[in-house]
Amino acid sequence: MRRLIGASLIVLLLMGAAIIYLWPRSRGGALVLYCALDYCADVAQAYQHLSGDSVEVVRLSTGPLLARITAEGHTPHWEVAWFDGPEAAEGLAAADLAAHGLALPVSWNAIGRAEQSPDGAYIPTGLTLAGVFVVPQSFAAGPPLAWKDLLRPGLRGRVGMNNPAISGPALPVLAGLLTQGGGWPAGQTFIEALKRNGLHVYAKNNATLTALKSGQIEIAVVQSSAAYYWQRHDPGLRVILPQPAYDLPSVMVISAGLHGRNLVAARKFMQFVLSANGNRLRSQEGSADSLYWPLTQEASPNSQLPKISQVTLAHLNPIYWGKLDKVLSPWFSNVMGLN
Amino acid sequence: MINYRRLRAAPLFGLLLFTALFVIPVIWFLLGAFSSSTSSRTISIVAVRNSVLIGIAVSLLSVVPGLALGWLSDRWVFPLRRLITPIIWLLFLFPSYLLTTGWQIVMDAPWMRDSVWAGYFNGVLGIIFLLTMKGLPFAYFTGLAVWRMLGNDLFDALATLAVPRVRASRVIITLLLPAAAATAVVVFVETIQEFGIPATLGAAIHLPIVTYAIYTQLTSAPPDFRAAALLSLPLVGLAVMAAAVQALIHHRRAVALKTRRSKPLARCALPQSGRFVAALAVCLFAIFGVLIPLAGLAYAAVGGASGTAGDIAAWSSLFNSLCYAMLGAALALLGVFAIWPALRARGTWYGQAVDIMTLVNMAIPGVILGAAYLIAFNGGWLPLYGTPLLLVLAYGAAQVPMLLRLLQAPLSQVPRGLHEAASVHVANHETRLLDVRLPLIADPLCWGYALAFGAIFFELPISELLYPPGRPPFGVAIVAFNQALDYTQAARLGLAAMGVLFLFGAGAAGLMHLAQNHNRKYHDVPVAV
Amino acid sequence: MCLLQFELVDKHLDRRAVLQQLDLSIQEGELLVIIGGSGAGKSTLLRLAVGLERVNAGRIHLDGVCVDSPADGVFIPPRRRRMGMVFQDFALWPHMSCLDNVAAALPGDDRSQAMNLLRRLQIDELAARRPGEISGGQQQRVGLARALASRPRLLLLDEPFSSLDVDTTEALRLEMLRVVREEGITTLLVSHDPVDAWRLADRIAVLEGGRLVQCASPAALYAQPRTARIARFTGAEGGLDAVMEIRDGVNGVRIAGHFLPATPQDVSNGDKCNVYARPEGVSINGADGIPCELAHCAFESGVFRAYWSLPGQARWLCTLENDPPPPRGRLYTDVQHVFLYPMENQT
Repeated sequence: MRRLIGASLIVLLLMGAAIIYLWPRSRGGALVLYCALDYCADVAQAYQHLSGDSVEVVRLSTGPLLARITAEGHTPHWEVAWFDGPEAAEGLAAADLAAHGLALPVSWNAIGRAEQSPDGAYIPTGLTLAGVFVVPQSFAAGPPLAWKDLLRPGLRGRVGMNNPAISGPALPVLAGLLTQGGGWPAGQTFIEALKRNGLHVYAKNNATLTALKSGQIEIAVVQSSAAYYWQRHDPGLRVILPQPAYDLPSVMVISAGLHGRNLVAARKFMQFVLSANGNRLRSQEGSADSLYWPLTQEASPNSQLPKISQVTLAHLNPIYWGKLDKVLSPWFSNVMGLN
Repeated sequence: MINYRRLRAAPLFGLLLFTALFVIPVIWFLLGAFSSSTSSRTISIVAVRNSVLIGIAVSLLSVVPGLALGWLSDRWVFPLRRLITPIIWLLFLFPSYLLTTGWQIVMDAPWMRDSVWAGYFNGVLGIIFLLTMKGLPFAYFTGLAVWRMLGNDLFDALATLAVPRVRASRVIITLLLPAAAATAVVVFVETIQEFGIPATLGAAIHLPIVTYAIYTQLTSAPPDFRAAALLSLPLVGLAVMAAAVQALIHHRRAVALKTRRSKPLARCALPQSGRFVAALAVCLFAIFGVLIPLAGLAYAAVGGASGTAGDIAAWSSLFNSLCYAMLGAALALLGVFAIWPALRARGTWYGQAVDIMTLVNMAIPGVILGAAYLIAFNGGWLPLYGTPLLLVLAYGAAQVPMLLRLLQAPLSQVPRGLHEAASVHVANHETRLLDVRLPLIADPLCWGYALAFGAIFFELPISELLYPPGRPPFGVAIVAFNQALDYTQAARLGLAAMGVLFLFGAGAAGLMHLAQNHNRKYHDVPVAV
Repeated sequence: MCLLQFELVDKHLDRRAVLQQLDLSIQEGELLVIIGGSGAGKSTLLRLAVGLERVNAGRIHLDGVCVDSPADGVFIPPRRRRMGMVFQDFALWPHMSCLDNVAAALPGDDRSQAMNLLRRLQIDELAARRPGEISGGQQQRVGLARALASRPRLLLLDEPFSSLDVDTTEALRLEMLRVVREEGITTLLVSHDPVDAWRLADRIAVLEGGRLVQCASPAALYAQPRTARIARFTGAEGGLDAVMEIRDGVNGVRIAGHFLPATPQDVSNGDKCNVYARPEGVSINGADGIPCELAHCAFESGVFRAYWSLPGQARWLCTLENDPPPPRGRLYTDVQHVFLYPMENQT
């Protein structure tokens, strides 16, 4: 029977290997980055190569990322979080999960200055638009140009958007739609009208745009970066910029209570992200998230995007909408019957 | 000298361990339903209502086919009869989210997308169909046991006494009713606790189902623990009620079958007309049960369905799950050993407490255990949330009750005298443990480990709630691909996982076979002078 | 010298008293057979001796050392008592060969010594085979070899022949006796078979209802069985209802007007009692004695076992006849073989 013991030893060795593999790597100064953007891994790798400091990247989509940060509460496993949506950042800061008073010595351009956090809850890293319309080239009737066009009877059941509870960029879309309807709570009637007009809701960008391609819907309301990415890969689609288009900067936050060496490391990484080098890496990475308008003077705009001056840009107050963060998504889920 | 106190403490330790790892987190989570914090989301009873109605429909729909398949398999000889059991096992072991993905791929194919069948599938009928498929194995196994208990002599007696066919059918049905009712209850509980199908098809068609609704409350921004707890209460309550009903049926009505002693059954050849119908039924069962979804997965894997080219990072989920399963199954076995002394001490209060707790535990679905661990370990004195340790702990805790029930019979059946002979005759501790005691229980332990391994590998709700960022388990990766409609990746990963597990299982079986295959050649032993 | 001593031992199982106030000593070198009905506590006594159970009260001493005493907080586990045990269902480890089964009980897994043991019991050709491949009798020999492997101070046998057929039992009984006598091993054997007691025992201990009712040599037990059950064990039958009398200083009972001398056990003059008589002490003659009718007769191993019905008695007495018995006769008895016991429910 000693052979069985031998066999068990093999199993024990395998388990030992599994424990070693799963063991939380010694932080030893490694910065932990929770990131919802596609280019994080490339940026982190380049940063490690240049600076010698290690960065551990944890990739999650925005909704689960924010839920995880909330669940971890005041024993966070992260130092820096990077995602789309200043409203969520303000919400985290208001809950004392992210630090206030962030500021970096960066040469911002005009848009960059406009996108700054009023209370230093985040650092903006790039601009996209919260919601643009993606339609097939063969779209029969006149495409929508304004938000209220989505209520046209001819568009009944033909419009889809993301679920703001899961897809972070969809929250500013929701905020924009509510603004169209007169703010909060007046704007609720606009959303309810959209629901009566057969609005479809999908988990994330990919699901919404796949529904568009399969013909389930004919108008996808998605983030500009996703929209232009799909247009690039599918000439059968075209992007329409609504008027107005609401701003959706990607932002970085640091966990509350970060200090000393960790704080220095976090700031150093953020500085790199906003540097010319960092911006070049991000915009050339090739994913949807690369399609953003830069916020610093050293960075050149992506040639695949229209000039920002062509966009009728509207700004959402992140603190105001950030305070409603805990209310908006659940309310939307209730109204749309997503619970 | 034996320390009496230490010996007596062993069962109490098992009780404490079970209480700490299971009872306290679950109760703490459920009590959150009554907390004063405001719930930001309306708790829609639609999810609960849907789950109950679907559960009832599925249990009614699966009982008769399951019993019929058991009857065909046990009583008759016809072509393809031997296929029934393997298909049932395949269906039983097939993860529900992968089964659903296979069907979704088929229904999303260009020639099916706009058909009426796709319309039916992408609705509540599709959910019911898939859940019925997953419920069939339970109905089959129960049916098989019942048919075997009925025995040939009963039918011989009915024939000899020339009992009219209608009356004979009534006799048979009356005997079958308790088993059918118990089966329906088991299928109902399994259905309302199912997570994989609501997480895939349910999410796609926005049909609120209570297990996925609980999950959504915890993983949307912001997470709502109170809402999750409120939704969990009816789920647990229904399962406990169903378990009580099943126990009552078993106690009152099944005595007739329990106390029968019956000769083993000889199968008869079906008449010609029946043979064709039976074979056709088996074919259809195979096709709709496993072949179509497998074909869908294969079709998507070669690039036939929507999806992306590749994401190497997601494939690490395969390796992650192998590691989690190895460790979780080992932890579950250790938990069984820790709790075993308490379970054996049935005459004592702690033995009965553990017995009841492990029974009640089976009414707690994975999503609730995951939620309980998320809340219990996300701060304060033991912030394990987000670590692989917590996930492995949860996996182990979830498997312990199943393993206890599974191993109880084989471990108890080892004749007591064999252990006692070791106590009396083998002074050497190492010899006693390694050469005598362990080998006696090696087989059931290995089977228990293998089952726990497989269950953990394919596990979904606990994985979704507790996986450490950057180390997603297999199920999480599959569902992520499914929800992003990336069927190509989902199919490739799914088929690769099945292949890996098959190889792993074959390797483990080979290892066991080699280890237990003693050299039977007689060795010349020198005679002591 | 006393090797094993039970001192006022009580044992409960599931709140039922299995042994009560047991006082029993086993001398070194003797072979003590413990007999009793089902549930008498025989196997429990054995298990207490070896240490597989613990006493609830009292003490057990082994070779002068206390090995079990709850009052003193003492318990020596089985492996440290140096005993050997042969189990009723053999308890051979199924995954090990016969040789390995024996070797495991030897220090250092000494296979050559194990082989010698098997050779001594003439089963060395079974060394490489597993228990499942050999007969019951062969398994029990392997069990005996294993029990002897550690040169035990005390050999315990728990109904070792109950799973075997008659021929195998007979052979193994003698084999076992030869081995323990050669080794001089103190032996405790539990059995429900009277033949084991008569053929093997130096002393016989009888348990009834968890109490030791008699412990004596076979001859003493035979001469003075203390209870009706022991009387039946010695071959007595009957259980007739009667009232004890003393006539001319002789104890006895009156049945159908005739006085039967008998040996009373815990019965006084005038007490209702049950009468048991051994067939060898009951005879039929035509002239004198209690009138009786033949109720049943069976030819058994060369003699006729005849059952006689007596007037006013529901139960029968038994005789052994060389020739077929007549339908009627007159029954008389030998006082050495007739016993009186307090009247009780007869099982």
